[in-house]
Amino acid sequence: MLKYIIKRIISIIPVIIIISMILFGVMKLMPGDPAARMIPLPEGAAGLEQYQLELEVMREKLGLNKPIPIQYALWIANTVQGNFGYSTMYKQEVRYILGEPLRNSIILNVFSITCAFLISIPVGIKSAVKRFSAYDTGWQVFSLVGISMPTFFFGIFLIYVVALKLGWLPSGGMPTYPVLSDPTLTPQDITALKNAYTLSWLRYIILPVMTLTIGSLAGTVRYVRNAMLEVIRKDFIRTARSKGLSEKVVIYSHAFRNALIPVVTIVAGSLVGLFGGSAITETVFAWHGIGRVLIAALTSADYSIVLTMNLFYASLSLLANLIMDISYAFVDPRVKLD
Amino acid sequence: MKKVVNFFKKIAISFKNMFLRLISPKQMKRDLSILEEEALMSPGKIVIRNFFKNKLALTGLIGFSLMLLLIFGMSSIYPLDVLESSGIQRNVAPGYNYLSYPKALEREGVAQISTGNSFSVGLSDEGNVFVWGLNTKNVKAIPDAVREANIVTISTGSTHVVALTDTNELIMWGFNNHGQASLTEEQAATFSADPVKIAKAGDEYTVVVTQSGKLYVWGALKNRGLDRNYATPVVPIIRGEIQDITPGPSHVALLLTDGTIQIIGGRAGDTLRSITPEFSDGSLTFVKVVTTEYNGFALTDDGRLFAWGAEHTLMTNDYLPYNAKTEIKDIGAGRLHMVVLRNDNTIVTWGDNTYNQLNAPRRIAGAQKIFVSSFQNYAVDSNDRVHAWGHRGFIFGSDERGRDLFVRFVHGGRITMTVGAVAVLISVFIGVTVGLTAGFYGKWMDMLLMRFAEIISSFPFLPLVITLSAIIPASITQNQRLLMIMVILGVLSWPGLSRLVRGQLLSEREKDFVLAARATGIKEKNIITRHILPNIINIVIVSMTLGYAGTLLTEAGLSYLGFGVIPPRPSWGNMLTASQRIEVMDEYWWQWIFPGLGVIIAALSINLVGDGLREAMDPKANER
Repeated sequence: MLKYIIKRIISIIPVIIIISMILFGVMKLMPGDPAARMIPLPEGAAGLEQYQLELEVMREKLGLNKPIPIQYALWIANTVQGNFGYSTMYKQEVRYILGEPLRNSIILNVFSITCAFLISIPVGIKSAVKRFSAYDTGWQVFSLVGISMPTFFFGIFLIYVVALKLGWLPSGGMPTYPVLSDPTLTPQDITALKNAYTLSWLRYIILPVMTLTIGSLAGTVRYVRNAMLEVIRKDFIRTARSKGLSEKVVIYSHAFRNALIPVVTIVAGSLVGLFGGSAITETVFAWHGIGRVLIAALTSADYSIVLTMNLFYASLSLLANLIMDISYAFVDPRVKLD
Repeated sequence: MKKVVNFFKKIAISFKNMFLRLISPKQMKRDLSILEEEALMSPGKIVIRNFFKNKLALTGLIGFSLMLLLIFGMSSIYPLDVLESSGIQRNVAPGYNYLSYPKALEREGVAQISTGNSFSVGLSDEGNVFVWGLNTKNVKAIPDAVREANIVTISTGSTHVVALTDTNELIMWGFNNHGQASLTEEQAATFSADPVKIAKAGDEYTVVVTQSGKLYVWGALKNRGLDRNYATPVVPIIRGEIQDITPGPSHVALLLTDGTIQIIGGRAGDTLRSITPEFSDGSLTFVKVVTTEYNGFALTDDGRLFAWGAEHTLMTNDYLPYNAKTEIKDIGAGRLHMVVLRNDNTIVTWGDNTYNQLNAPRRIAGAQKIFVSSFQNYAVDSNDRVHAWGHRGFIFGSDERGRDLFVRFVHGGRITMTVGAVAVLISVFIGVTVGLTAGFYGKWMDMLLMRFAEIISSFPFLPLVITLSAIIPASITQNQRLLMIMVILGVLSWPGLSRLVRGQLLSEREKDFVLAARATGIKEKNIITRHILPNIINIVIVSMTLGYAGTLLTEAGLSYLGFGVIPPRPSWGNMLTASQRIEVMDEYWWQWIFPGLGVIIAALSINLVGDGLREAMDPKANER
């Protein structure tokens, strides 16, 4: 087992090197001179010479004067040390910027994926068991409409109905963290403020989570149902039934555990998909997550951030594949890892 | 050649059978014994039969065809003018009833009709007031005072109505954002001492003349040149008594009792303000003056028409139609067009025809009266019948620049559907080529290609698509940009299909029927093309269909974020971008709901077709 994991990790390394090369190449194609973004434009012709000089210095500082292979090598060396470069948009080191958005995105996505699977697994099982019933048909219709709907359109619709027309929840954005440094605040006040913050945080996260959940629910319900249908037709289910086992045992112990294998694949897969896809949802709800940072960075050609983010997404997906392969072995003892 | 003919014959027969079966399925079944049917049915036919049996799939196919017809048909009928804009028609709600005047008005006899932004108000000979069209700013809520009083004249501005009673009282309703539809206490006191004689409504302003001949203007006066405090009487600049007033978009034309004309207000550089001396020196006696947005028109007492104003509209004196210069009984002006009623009771129209304002019905038998304003025209004939023509309304509403959203919807749909289709074709082409190559050659080629596919698929799709779209240089043309987006979407979405094709190829190759074919000595090339490929095409078609729905959604998302199709060229995705502004989302729901529904319906019908095809092709699905 350990040997397999090590082998898989080693096989990831060349892939990630190629990916980083492609990404770096793509970034070099991005329009705009990053050095020029760092210094203000000169006022009139008088400052032009000074501006040129500053531009040169900045290029030197950012390492833009060196040949591209050397720039790449430098970037890789820095990245491995956790130094992701300097953001021209935030005028700050990238590593200090991404912490909070990353946390926000992870919370959003983990919430959504948990909701999606908590709903879709029981629903998928029930749909498969009661195939062609009204229950099944209803969910089939739902998932068909769900996969045909742009997730963000559902988000817009939710904002329109829940936030604007009913006024139950905020339409987007994030709560501001309360100022706790005020010396006049008693510990009780601080706890109260913190609680209020958490509460309002929950109010802000409900709509985006709903949007992402519905968005992935459509696909996962279908998937779990099909996986179950596949298994239910197998001989060992008939055997289990003929042994006189109760239906509950047959379904949950015999059938579902076998249906889990394809389901595990999609859990890992949808985590990656969600992270990528949540960029639009974050924009719709003005949720300060990494997707939104990526989009902002792209519009202002801040390519340290874009590069870091894309590398993050790619590593995440490779990691998810690894976890998926390993988890096969846990859910299915027949899978031999060698 | 003979082979080809046979082929077409077969197709014709299968189509005939297909429809026969639709009409009388039992008939067909009885005609064939089991063995015959089996011998007759090729796999392709079975697929078609299964597909058409599936009601959902059929619904999807019909829905998709209708959508295509709507989008491609309508977009060729209505040309897209990306920058077209008419200020007053901004953010208008959907409606198609602007010209649907109440029959009661026709019965009671039309005294007056006046049209606002998206509604019309009619006054009948019996003194009843009717409002039809859209309920913009609640103009349909006619105050009770109107019913009780005896209304003499009505006048509509863009969004409010001013009515004058026989006791010289003002009744106003509608939009009151600048106080144009209400009186201050001071004004009320002034008007009770010096009653109102003439009352007219302009774009968000009201202008009245009192018995003593004083002119008062109030409401939104900024940027109209009317803000020089006309709220106090403007007697000094007006020599003589005012006979009639015509409020325009940014100016007011005054007709004095001596038959001369004066213009007040108007924006800087407004050619409408500069009238030649003949209009005001008394050499001509005018009886009516009307104004479009850029031009003025005046009718003399001997039925001659004179025009002035901006040249670019081609509506000045030099451009008057030959039959609209003399012998004219009445004139009316819309925003951008003119209508005249000649002494022989015929109607002549000219000017802008964007909303069919000029297409007066030919069957009007001797028009007696004409009422023209905004983009609508009403004429009453000698039998007291009302004829209406002009702007009926925007079916899907209009956007913040006054563009018809229906036209943008069909053109946006065309772009979204085309981008999706081409992207899917690119992706299928690459996917099938890579999959087949990897499967056929195996060994290092397989290894190399599949590693490559793995690398491509380990990028999260959306962030990479966004990143790549962002680096498209801004200098290229819109069409090249569209092409780039199609290529990006296509090039990034093939790995799944290539894996599928390769897997299918490998598994088909080991099947018994291939072994049998080989044993009978069929050439390897023929085995591949005749025996293996048909089994792969199934999955390619299904994944192509489902992939099409996917790319539609991706394009919508991309354009929504502003990285796909860029305005002013429409696509369903970038039309949805309007919803990012909270006031659009809240008040102008039609601006984002229609493109959203368009995407959903298109993707849903494509998915239904894809599902239907999969079930039709997968023998396992048949037993379900």
